[in-house]
Amino acid sequence: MTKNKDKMLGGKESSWKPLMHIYKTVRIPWFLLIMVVILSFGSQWVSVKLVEYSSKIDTGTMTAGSFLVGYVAFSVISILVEYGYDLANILGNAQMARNVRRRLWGKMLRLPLSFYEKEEPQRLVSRVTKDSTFAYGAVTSVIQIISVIYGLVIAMRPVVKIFGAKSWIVAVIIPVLFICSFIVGKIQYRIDRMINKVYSKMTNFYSERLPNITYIKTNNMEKSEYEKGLKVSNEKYKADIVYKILFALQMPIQSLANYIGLVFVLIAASAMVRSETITAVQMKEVMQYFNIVMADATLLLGVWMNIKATHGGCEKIAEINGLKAEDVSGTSEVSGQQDIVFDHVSYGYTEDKLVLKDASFTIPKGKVTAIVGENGSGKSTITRLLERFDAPASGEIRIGESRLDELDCAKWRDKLGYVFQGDQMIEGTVRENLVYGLTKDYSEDELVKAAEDAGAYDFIMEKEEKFETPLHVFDSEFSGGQLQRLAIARVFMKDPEYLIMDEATSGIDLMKEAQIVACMKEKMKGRTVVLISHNMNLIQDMDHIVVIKDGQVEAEGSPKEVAKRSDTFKALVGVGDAETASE
Amino acid sequence: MKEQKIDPVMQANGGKVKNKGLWRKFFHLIRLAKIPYIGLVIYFLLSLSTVYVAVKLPQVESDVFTGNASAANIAFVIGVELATSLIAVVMISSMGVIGGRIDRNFRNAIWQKILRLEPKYFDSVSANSLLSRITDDAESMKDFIMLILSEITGITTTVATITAMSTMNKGLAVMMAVFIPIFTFFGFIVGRIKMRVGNNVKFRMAGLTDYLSGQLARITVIKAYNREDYEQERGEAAIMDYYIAQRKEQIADFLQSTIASIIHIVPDVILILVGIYMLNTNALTPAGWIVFHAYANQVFSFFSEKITLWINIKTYQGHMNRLSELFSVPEEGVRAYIKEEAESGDIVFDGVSFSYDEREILSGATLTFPKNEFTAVFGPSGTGKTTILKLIEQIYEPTGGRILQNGHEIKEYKLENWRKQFSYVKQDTPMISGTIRDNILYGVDAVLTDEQIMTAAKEVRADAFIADCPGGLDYDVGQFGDKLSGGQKQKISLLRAFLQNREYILLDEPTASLDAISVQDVLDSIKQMIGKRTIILVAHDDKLIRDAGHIIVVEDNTRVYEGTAEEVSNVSGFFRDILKLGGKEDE
Repeated sequence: MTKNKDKMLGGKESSWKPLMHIYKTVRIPWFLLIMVVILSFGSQWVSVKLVEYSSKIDTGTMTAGSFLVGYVAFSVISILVEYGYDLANILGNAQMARNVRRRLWGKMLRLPLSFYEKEEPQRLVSRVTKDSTFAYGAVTSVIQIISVIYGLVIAMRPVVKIFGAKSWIVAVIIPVLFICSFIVGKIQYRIDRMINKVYSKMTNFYSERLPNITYIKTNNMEKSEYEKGLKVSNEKYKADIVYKILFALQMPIQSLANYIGLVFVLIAASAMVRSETITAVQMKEVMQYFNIVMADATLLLGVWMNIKATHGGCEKIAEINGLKAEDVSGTSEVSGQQDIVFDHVSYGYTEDKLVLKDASFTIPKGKVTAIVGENGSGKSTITRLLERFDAPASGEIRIGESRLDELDCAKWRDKLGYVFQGDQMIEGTVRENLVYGLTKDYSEDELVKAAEDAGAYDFIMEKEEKFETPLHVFDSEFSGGQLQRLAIARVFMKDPEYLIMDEATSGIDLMKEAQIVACMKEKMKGRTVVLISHNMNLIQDMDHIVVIKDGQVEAEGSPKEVAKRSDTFKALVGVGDAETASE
Repeated sequence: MKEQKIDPVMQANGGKVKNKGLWRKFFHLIRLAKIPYIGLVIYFLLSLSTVYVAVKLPQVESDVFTGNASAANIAFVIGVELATSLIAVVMISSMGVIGGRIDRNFRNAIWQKILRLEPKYFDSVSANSLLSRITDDAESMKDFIMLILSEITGITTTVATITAMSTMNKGLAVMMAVFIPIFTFFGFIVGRIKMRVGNNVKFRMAGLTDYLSGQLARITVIKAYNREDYEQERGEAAIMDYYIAQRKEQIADFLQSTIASIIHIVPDVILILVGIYMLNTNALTPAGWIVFHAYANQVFSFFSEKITLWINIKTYQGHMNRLSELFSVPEEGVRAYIKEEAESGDIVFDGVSFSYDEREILSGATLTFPKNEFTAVFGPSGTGKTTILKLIEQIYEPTGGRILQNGHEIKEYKLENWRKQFSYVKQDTPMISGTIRDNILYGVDAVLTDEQIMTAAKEVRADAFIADCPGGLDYDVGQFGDKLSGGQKQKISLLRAFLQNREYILLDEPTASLDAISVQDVLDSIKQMIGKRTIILVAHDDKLIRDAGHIIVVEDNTRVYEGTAEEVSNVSGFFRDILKLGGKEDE
C-alpha cells in the first residue's frame, strides 16, 4: 500500500537520509514548534466548537445573552488561534531557514573550487536562499497530520451520532478523494512541466537576442528575428490555452468527493428532517461538521503532499549539506624561496580528458618563469594546482623539499599572490579591495605606491571618492582594464613571496602592460614569479620558459634554448614579431 | 554596459510613480492587447448564470433550513452545485483563451518595439530588464485586464443581490448601507498590512541573494586570500539581519492583523444583534433572516475583494508605467530619407563631435576613410575608436558636425540600406545559438551551398576548425556561442563578413583576446580582403601597420591625426610608442 502511494503521488524513490541529516545538523526552533502543536490542536477544537454557534446563525435560531457572548468569545479565540498559528509557523520557518542558511553558507565557502565549475554561484545561492524555507515544512507537516486526525475524530463524533451506521459513507468518500487528488496531481505535474519547458524556450530565445540587438541591426536581420519571435510567442500562447483548459478540468474532478458527500448528506439529512427525526438546525449542524471532516481529509492529503514537496524542495540543500569540504590538511611550512618542482603531474577535470599529462618541469626560485602554450594547453591548470585548488590525479608537486599536499594550506596560500584574467573585485570600496586579506598594518604611502605600480593610481584619483569609491560585483563604474589593474594593485599590496600572474594583463593596452610588468619585476626581485601571457614580446625577457603543448612539457629553459628546441615556441614568437623573420 | 538601478525602497512603497496620464497610458496599452471581443461576449453570457444562482439559491436554502426539506428543493440545490461546477470549467477555459491572446499580443508588440528602438537606449538598460518587460510586465498587464473583466461578473451579481435585498426589508437595507463602508474599511487595513509585508519580504530576499551570490562569485579570490572565516562572518551577519527584519515585520503584522480582525467582528455582531431583535419582534421570519444573511455575506465579500484589488493596483501600476515608458522610447529609421540607395565613395567626418554621458569623446574631428583603402585606427583604450565605427554604422549620431559620403550627409539615406553596405566585426563576437552554418549565413543575402561556404572558409583560414568540429557546419554553437572558443567565433565572424560581400568592412580590435596562432589566422584573412573592399580596422597593436594605407590616431577627443605611417609618427607620440613596442624599432 505504501509503495502504491509513493507511485500514486508521483514521487521518485530517493533517499530520505540527506533530509534527515539536515535535521540532525541544523538547529530546529523547538519553542515555536511546540507553539505550532498547541495552536494547531487548538484550531481544530475551536472550529468544531464554532459549529454550535454558526449553525444557529445560519438558521435564524440565534438568541441574545449567553449565546452571543459565547459567539463573540469563540470568534475572538478563533482569530487569536488562527493568527497565532500563522505567526508561530512563519517565525519557526524563518528561524529554521536562517539556521539552514548559516550552516550552508559556511559549507559553501569551504567546498573545493571544482564544485563551482559545475554549479554557477548565482543560481546556487538563489536556490539555497529559497530552498531553505522548505526545511521546516516537513516537521510541521508531521505535527499537522496528528492534529488533523484529532480534528477528524472530534468532527466525526456528532456526525455518527446523527447518521449512525450510514456514517460509513465517509469510508467510501475518502478513497475517492485520494484517487481524485492523484489524478489531479498527475495532470498538474504534466502541465507544469509542459509550461515550464515552453516558458524556458521562450525566455532563452529573448535572452539571447536582447543583449545582441545591435548585432541584429548591423546584420539587417530585424525582420527575420521578429518573425522568429512571433513563432516562439505563438507556441507559448498555445501552451497557455492547453494549460488553462486542463487546469479548469481539474476543478470538478477535485471536488467530486465533496460533491458525493454533499449529495449524501443532503439526501439523508433531509429525509430525516421530513420524518421529523431531526430538526432543520441539526441538519445544518451535521452539514457543517461533515464539511469539517471533508476539509480535514483534504488537509491530510495536502499534508502528505507537503512532506513530499519538502523532500523534493530540499534535495539541493541536503546535497550540499552532505558534501565534503576541500582538503586543506597539512602541517609543514616552507621557509624562504624554494624551487617549485612538478614531478610527472597529471590532472583532468574528467577521467578521460587529461589536461596535464605526465608534466615534469621546474619553476626555479627567485626567478621569473613564463609558461607558454596555446589556449587550452593546460597552463591555467598549473596555477590552480599551485594554489592547491585541486590535487593532481597522479604525480607530485614539491616546494623545495616538502610536498605541496603536506603543507599547511592556509599558510601556503598566504605566501602566494594570485592575479588572473576575469572578474575578481569583491563588494566593497577600492581600499577594502586593495587591502583584502592583508594580515599586517599598512601605510597610505604603501597603498599609493602599489596603486601607482599597477597603473591604477591615476584613474582612482579621478574618481570623486578616490580610494573610498565603491565597487560592486555585478555592476562596476570601472572598465575591464581598470579592474585588472586594481587586481594587480591588490596583489602588490599583499607583497607575496611567490607571485602568479595568469593572463593578468590581457585586457590592458600594451604600453601600460609593459610598465606594470617592469614594476612587477622590480618589486619581486629575488622572489619567484610565474607568468602566463599571450604577449610574446614580454615573454622573451623572462628568465625561464616552460612550453606546454597538449598538456605535456615540450621544452624548458632560457628563451634562447627554448627558441631552438620548441616548435610551438617558434610558432608563437614568429607570429608575434613578423619583423624578425627577415633577420 | 551600465545597469539601471532599481531603488528597492521606492518600489517597496508601491513606488512614488507618476499618476499623471494613468488612464491614457492604460487605454493605449489596451489597444495593443487587441482583446478578442467575441470571447468576452460568450463569457458574459455564461456569467449570467452565476447571477441567477447567487439570487435564487439562498432563497431555496432558506426554505430547506426552516423545515421544508422537500425532495424538489434538495434536487434543486444538488443540481445547482453540479451545474455551477461545469459552467465554471467553460468560463475558466474561455478566460484562458482570452488571457492567452492578450498576453501574446502584448509580447509581440513589445518585441517589435524593441527591434525598432534607437541603439543608444540599450547602453543604459540591461538585457534582463528588457526581458522582464516581455515576460513579466506583459503577463502582469494581462492579469490586470483579466481582473477588470472578471469584475464585471462580480459587479452584476452584487447589483442583483442588493436589489433583491432592498425589496425585502427597507430597514435592514439601510443598515447594510451603513455597514458596507465600515466593513470595507477594516478589511482595507488588514489587506494593506499584508501587502506591505509581502513586498518587503520579496525585496529583502533579493537583497540577501544578491549579496551572498556576489561574494560566492568571487570564491577564487576568497580562497586565494584566505578569507573564508571572514566572509563566513559577513554572510552570517547578513543572514541574521534578514531574519531580524523578517521577525520584526511578522510580529507587527500579527499584532495589527489580530486587532483589526477583532474589531472587524463588531459590525458582524451588531448585525446579528439587530437580527435577533427583529426575529424576536417578528419583524423578520427565520427564512427571511437566512436569505438576508446570505445576501449580506455575498455583498461583504465582494467589497472585501475590491480592497485587495485596490491595494494590488499599485503593483500593476508599476508594470504599466514600465511598459508605457518603453513604448515612448524613440525608434530609429523613422526619419524621412532623401536618398534610397547609398552610393559608394569616401566617408568623411567633417568637424564631428560626439558626447556620451557628459563626456566629450570627439571634439570637431575631421577625418577621411578613403574608398577601397585599408584604414587602421589607433589610440589608447577608452578614447573614441570604437565610437567612430558606431558613428559610421549610424548606431550613434554625432552631436556636432557632419558625416558625409560622396558629399551627402549619411543620415539622409534610408537607414536599412545604409547599413547594408557594412559588415561589422566586433571584438566580443556576438553569436546566437544555432549551427555554425546558421551563424555564418546570418545576414547573408545570397543562397549558398555548403561547398561554396567551405571554399570561402578556406580563403579566410576558417575551414580547418569547421572540419574539426563534430558535424562540421551542423555543429551546434550553444547559447551565445559558448561551445566555441574566442578564436573560432572570430573566424566565423570574418567568414560571415566575407560572404556578406558588402562594400565596407568595419573591424573592432578583432584579435584582442586571441592566442598568438589564432591572431595570425585572423590577420591573414583580413589581408585577403585588402584592395577588394574598404577596410576600417580599430587596432589593438602594431601588427597591421605595414599593410594599412591610411593611419588614423585618436589620442584623445581633441588630438586626432591621420595620414601615412610616417606622417602620423611625426606628429603623434602615442603612435611612435606603438612602433617602439612592436619589438624592433625601425632603423
